[in-house]
Amino acid sequence: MKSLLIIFIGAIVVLFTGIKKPEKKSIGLAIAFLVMALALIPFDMMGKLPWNFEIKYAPINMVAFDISARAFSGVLILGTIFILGLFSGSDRKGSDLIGLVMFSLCGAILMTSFTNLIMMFLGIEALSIPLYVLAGSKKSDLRSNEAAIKYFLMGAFSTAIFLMGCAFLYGSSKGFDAFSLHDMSAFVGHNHMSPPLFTVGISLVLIGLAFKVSAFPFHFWSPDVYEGSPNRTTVFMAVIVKIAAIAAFYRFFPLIIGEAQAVTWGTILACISACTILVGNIGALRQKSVKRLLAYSGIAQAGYLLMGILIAPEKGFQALWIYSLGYVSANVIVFYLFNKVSAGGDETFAAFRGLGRNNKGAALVLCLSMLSLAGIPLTAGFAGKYLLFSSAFSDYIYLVIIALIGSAISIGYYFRIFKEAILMDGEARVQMRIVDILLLGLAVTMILGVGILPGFVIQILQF
Amino acid sequence: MENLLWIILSPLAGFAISGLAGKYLPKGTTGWIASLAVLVSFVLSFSLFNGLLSNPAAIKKEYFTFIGSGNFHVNFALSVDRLTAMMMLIVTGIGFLIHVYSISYMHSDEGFYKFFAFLNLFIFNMLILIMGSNFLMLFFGWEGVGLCSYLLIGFWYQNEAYGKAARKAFVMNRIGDLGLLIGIFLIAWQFGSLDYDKVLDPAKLVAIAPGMITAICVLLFIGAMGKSAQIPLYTWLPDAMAGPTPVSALIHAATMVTAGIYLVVRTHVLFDMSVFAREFVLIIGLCTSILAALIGLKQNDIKKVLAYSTVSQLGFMFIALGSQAYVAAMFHLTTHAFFKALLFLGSGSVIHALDGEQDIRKMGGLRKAMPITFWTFLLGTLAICGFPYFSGFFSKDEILAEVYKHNVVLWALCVGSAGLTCIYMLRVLIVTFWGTFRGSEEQKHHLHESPALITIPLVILAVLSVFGGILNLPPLLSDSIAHGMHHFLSPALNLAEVPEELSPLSQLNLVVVTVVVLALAFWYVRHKYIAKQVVPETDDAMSGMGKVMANKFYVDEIFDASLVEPIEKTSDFTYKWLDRKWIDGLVNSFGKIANAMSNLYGKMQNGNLEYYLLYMVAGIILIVGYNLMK
Repeated sequence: MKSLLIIFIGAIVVLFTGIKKPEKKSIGLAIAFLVMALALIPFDMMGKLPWNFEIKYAPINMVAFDISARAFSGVLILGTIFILGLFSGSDRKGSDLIGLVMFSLCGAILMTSFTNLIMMFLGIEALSIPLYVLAGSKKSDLRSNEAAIKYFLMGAFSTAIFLMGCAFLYGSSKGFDAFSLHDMSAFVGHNHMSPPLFTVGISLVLIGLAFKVSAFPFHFWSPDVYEGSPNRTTVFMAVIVKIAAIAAFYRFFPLIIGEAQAVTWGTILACISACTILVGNIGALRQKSVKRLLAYSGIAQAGYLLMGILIAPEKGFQALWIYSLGYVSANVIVFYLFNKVSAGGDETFAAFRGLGRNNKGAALVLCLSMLSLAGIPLTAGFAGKYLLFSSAFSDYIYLVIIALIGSAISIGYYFRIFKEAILMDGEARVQMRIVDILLLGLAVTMILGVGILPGFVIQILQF
Repeated sequence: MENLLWIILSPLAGFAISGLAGKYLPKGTTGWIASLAVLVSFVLSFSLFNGLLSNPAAIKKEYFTFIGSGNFHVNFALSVDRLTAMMMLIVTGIGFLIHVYSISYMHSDEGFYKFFAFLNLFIFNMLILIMGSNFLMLFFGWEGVGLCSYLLIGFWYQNEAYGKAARKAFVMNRIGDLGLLIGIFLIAWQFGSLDYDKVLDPAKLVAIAPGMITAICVLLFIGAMGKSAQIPLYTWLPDAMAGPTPVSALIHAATMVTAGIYLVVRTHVLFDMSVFAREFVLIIGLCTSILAALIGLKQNDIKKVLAYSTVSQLGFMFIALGSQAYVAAMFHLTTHAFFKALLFLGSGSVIHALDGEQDIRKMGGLRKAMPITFWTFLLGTLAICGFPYFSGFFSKDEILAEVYKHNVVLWALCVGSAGLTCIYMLRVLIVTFWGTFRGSEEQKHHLHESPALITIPLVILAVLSVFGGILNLPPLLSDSIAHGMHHFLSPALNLAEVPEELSPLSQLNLVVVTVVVLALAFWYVRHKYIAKQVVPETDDAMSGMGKVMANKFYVDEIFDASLVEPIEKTSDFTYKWLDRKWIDGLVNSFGKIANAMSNLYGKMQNGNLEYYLLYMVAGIILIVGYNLMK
């Protein structure tokens, strides 16, 4: 709660100071607020764990900053610090955009901490509406405009579906709060009933969430929107939106569906997850544009992340957290380097050519993040995949097999990027500021630290 | 006893310092730092040894768990009993002398600091090998010394032949290592542990099938074959002479190659249970000893002669092990470490003086120019020949006596092999140091005695080679200090306090026979090389059996034709047909399928919003429909 407030205040301050001050200063200010918010997370309001659901939990508070909420908000705030720090000056100048990013982050944090469908909906909208604007923030760029319109149309559609789901759920259980919904779900599950209102309601809410994480068959927007949006917005969508949506998705299961019906909905989710993994990886294979490729990679990663929802909540939480740490740092690195090398306008693989010769350090970091995304041991990506796959193995063996096939396919396109960067000759060059080096160093530390000592990193969650 | 850890950490630290900072330090410094690191280990080992003299209980220390899985635990643990302590003294003591020697020997080499880094790394690994308290530690050290041996044989890697020799040593060792590894797997499977304490417990062994114990012993011995250069895995050792001479002295004579002996002595409880394994060890040892001695007769490279001599002497040690004379083997290991290190360093001194010349046909008459080298080399030769009262005399005679107890025919063969040793060593000695100088004028002009850093280690080793026999005198000579080493080692090896003895008369007989054989050999060599001043013929002039021996019985060629070529042909076939055509084809077809699917999918993703919404609606209908129908 404290960190949420700090971010909100920070967003307003940035918005207003930006009128006079140049963008650079407002970014510094924003990052200062975010760091403060990050530091406040451990002191944030304690709550019960979502997997120890109890009666006292819900009706009074509509948000609860329990351990999973705090852990995921930490990742989100850290991710936003990366994005603001590394992508300054890539978009149109203007502190209003930075304010929007921070408002969007507030929505993301609400999505990690809701205990009530209303809060969840508000979180999703607070997250999405600034993004519609951000996607179109390059006003003179036709593709940016197209992306904004597409995103807005599809988003509106999914919001409508989500709201319809909420309405149905209200109709069936007379409440939006986790308490009454969980009760209802348990009642339905124990009596082996299938009341249409409740079932359709849950289905529609899940579909709304699936849209946000870009799961099959609701993922079609993401390659087009990623490609057209300005780089900073794209990486924000790829990192913050995805992790926030997964956190909300994850929270929805133990909190509202509960153990009684976990298997029923788990089966559907497993199918979605399998299709998402296949579609994401296969789609990525033939892409030439790096941003589209990363969009498909993000779809595939969403598929893996969905596996974390299927497994027992506590294990799933740990696995998802570890995975998201690796996902955030690797994606931030790739997008940063892509942003730098594509400054000349070339947005295909070829943009990376010659990086290995001209900037050994940058090429090394790029390779490391690719290895992590592909899930090669000693990187965070491997630790996350290992935790997810090994926990899902006993109950969802076919899903794990498909996920492994997907990972094998993914090596094909991830390694292609670093083949271009290292083996091919070209002009790619990266000029880094000190801040960039520090932030990249932090991201690399996270990839390697989580990859080498996952047990130790999980220990952090105990505090 | 934290000393245990310091003993292994000191050379490791030396390795780190000379390896990382050596480039930036003044040249001599690295050598002294490295030597100091080994000296620290030696001093600590010596104090440990002193402690063990009064109290034979092994000192054990566990540090952390390597592998923990269910009930199966392997720890990083050190354990020092009297056997280990003795090995440690040999490794660090001789290691130190050779380090000091190398400071002068390698002084003009570009890779000076690298050389000392590798030497220190070797000492570290060797100590792990002997000090570890379980088979995994042993294996760790085993592979580590193998790596260092590879690095040092190929130290002058610009020379392609040397690089190939290093590779050969590595590959041959890997074959042996495979046997050792399988043996260790069997041990882990049968005993559920790799700790020496648990595996080498006679009470436990009773429960294991005899066939399994034999299998384990044979596999462990295959590992020993590789490391200690026994038939058929010995061919790497002569080639390993490509490395700098101090390396040959340290690794390929005194320490690493004795790891196989140490392994068998350490696991002798297992070998005690299996007659077949012991006979196998005995026969292999005997064949190796005779074959290598025969080859040694006709070699003209001074280091090659010494290398074959080492193979032959190692064969002797295995003969002792096969006859269950573990103390005799350790005794010979010790004296051999003294005199063989001495001989190698002596040959190094000669090579150094002649600016890299190794062919004895181009030496001769060095007696006058290099008196210290000559005298020490002479003492070393007498020691290895088993000249009465020199160290080799006692250690070899003890082995011969043990073999005699075992089987008279084998004994006769061993005596023959000892005679051969005498011939080829005296041949080298005389051709090198007597007669007239046969090298170039320029070499003659430069001929000089080596500096003190080289001659001092020679003198120390010479003293040890002469008096080393005191360690384990036979009772025939003196009752009060007899069997010193036997008494020392018996608690570690669980042996009887007083060894079983032959009657004094038959002991005397044996000694007389050996001495007569040696005298014959002396006479033959004197007649041929001093009286007639024969110089070994050039390669072209050789014929008959001599040529076969000079060409090492064509063993390398036989290996090539019988193993390497068939394997290469099969490999070629599987590469072209199986791998390229079928397996690659299959794998590529997966890639093609994935690509084709990607193309197909690309048609769905056409950028048209209406289509996207259509897919979404289809998805919604499917999911909601499925849930309602259910």
